[in-house]
Amino acid sequence: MTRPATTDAPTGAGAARAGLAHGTRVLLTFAAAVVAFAGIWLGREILAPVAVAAVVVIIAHPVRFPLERRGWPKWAATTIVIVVAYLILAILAGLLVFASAQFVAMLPDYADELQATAASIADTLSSLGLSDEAADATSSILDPGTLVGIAASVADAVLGFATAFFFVLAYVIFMAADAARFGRLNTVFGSTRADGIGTRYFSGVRRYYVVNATFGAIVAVLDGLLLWALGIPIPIVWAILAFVTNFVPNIGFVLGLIPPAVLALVVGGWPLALAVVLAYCVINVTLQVLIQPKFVSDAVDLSLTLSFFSVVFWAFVIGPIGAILSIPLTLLVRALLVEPDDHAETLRRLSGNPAQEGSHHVVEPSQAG
Amino acid sequence: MWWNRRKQAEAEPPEPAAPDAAPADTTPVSAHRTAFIMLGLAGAVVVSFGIAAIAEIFVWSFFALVLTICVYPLRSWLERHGVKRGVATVAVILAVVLLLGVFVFAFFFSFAQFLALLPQYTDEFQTWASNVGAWLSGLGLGQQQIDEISTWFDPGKVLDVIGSLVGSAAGFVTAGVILLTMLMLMAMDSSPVRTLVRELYPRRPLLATAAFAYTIGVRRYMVVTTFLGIAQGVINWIALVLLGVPGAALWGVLAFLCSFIPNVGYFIAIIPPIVFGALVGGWPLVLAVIVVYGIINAVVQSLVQPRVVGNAVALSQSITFFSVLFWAVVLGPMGAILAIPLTLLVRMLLVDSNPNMTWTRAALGDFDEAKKVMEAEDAAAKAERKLRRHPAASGGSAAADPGAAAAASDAAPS
Repeated sequence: MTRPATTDAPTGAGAARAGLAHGTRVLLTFAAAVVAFAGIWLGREILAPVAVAAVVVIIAHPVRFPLERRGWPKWAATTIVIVVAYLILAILAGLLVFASAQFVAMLPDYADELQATAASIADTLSSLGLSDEAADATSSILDPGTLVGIAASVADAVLGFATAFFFVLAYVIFMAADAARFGRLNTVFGSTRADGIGTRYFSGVRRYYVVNATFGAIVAVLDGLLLWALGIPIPIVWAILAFVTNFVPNIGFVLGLIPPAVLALVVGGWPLALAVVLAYCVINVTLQVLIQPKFVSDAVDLSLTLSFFSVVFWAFVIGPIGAILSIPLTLLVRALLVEPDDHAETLRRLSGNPAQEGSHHVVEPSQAG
Repeated sequence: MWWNRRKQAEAEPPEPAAPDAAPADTTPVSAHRTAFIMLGLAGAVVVSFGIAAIAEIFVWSFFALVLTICVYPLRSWLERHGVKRGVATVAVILAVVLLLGVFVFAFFFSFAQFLALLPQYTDEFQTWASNVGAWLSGLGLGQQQIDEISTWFDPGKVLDVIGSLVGSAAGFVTAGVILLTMLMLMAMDSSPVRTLVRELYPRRPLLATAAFAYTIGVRRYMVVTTFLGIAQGVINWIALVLLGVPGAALWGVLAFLCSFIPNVGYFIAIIPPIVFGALVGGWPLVLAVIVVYGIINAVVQSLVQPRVVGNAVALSQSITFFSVLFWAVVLGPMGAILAIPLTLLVRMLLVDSNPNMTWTRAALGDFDEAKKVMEAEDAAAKAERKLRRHPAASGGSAAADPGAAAAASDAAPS
């Protein structure tokens, strides 16, 4: 019976009983994972609202503790939690609606300029020797008709979004009430160790979003001021975009940069576009790449590679909202599969979590000392 | 019977694991832990798709099972009074068919009444549709989208929506045949069930107990919901007749059906009366309908139902809401109606009959333990506050918490 080479945990009686060869087990696990994630992909429309509501309730839940200490009744504390969760959702939804309305209202004004820019880009491309096909594709993307079509399909998607949002609002009520009860249980996840993992997960998710929202707000204000100073149209929309995309780890900054850069190109040509890109890079690299990870990595302990991969992966599995929820979802997978398993010590270290309270490897030395 | 076979097949894996199920803290983690979890999740996905593929058969067979469970006490009552087994079986079948017949009659009667009324409102519907179209083109939508949306307001479409709630006409016949046949067969097979479960008990005590608890929980929930649903439907019907909304009887039946869908049903049941109220009486009537439905729904579903159903179901609100959406996606509208029994069945198979999983009961919504802890904590906190406030109250300060302050001042004279 082959044992996985990666385990450094003591092999107990359970290992001797192991019935599957290591390779078979790995293949079976991956096959099952493919099926499970395909299931999540197919059920994303009913699963995504659950994930959104769960994250919002996790963030808002601690509000109840100071209230309960002051002797508020439980239902009142739960109501406040729901109100806070709704406020978070309302602010986000309000920002998004405001930004899209501004954006849609601005589009017709710049349709002609967009087309002109697209034509000039096509010329450049063909002069560089690229085939006409590529150039045609580029210019057709920027065709105002296509843009209007996109706007219409956005309006179409709003209906689906409204349904999902209604589900999120309902889940928030139920989950806040249930969370109040879970808090009183002796053990929520069956054992003290599992409870420790659960608590760490919840506080990690909470810290991650609080830190990200703070930095997102700073970045958004700086970016907005910068764009306003450079004279880019509707700077407030791009500030909101920067705030929202800040929740997407690693590549969020690039997503938030593209539209204002394109607009700068349309309005002021290459120099302005370059200025926007450079200024964005300075602001975002300083804040997001140099300072923010110091705070976030404390909270989540995910390696950079893994956090980037999880953005791409979850965006693929449950859609755009998956990019924003990628960190909590990856943490959930790790809390479920890797953390309770002593055999997966190496995997856990690879995922970016070097030490763990409560595991044998930390407890034993501390007991010795 | 198929559900028995499945029960046993599903319950088999946990059995060998049971002997070495030590307290959770000391259980060594299996070397196959990740593989087992992923295989379990993948199995759940595959089973969901399998069930979705045979949704039409599955949903009506399961409905027959639920009905059989609900009328089982009639059989035991008859048998206790010395009626022969065969006669009891026939009586049970007759009772179920009678109940279903009454419902189907009420449904078709109200539907026919509504159909006769509908042509009067065709013009109003079309005016509405063109109004909405004008509004949408004002928003900047293309003609194609507007046409698409306008078709929603076609009276025929409304009928389709209502019809899809119980299945299309062709599916109706198939469903009826499957349902009636299954009902008869299950009624016959239900005769030895009590003995079978009693024999099962020594060998698989947890499974037998879980199955027994399942039948009790489902019966309690379904019977209570049925009676409350009838009450809700009749009150809504009378209210709508008094308000003068057309098709009141049909909306009453719809309210009855939707009362089986927790959390979401109310919103489905209220849409048609709002639409027709708007057609007939405009905003005041719409408001009246919303207020009447809201009050009736709040009283019945939030106040009466939890008290009568009690701990028979013990599913948390989040799980209940998710299960409605999940079963609606997997099985269609009937899945939403049967969401609670279906989720309880899954819990019975995976959690209740498996000693390793009992800890999840609390997370799934069995808050008995939590309630006790909460009550104890509340009492302790109250006593502590009283103690703390007692000297403060005599000092004349501190009245942040009126309840505690009142309690303290009550305590002061004595």
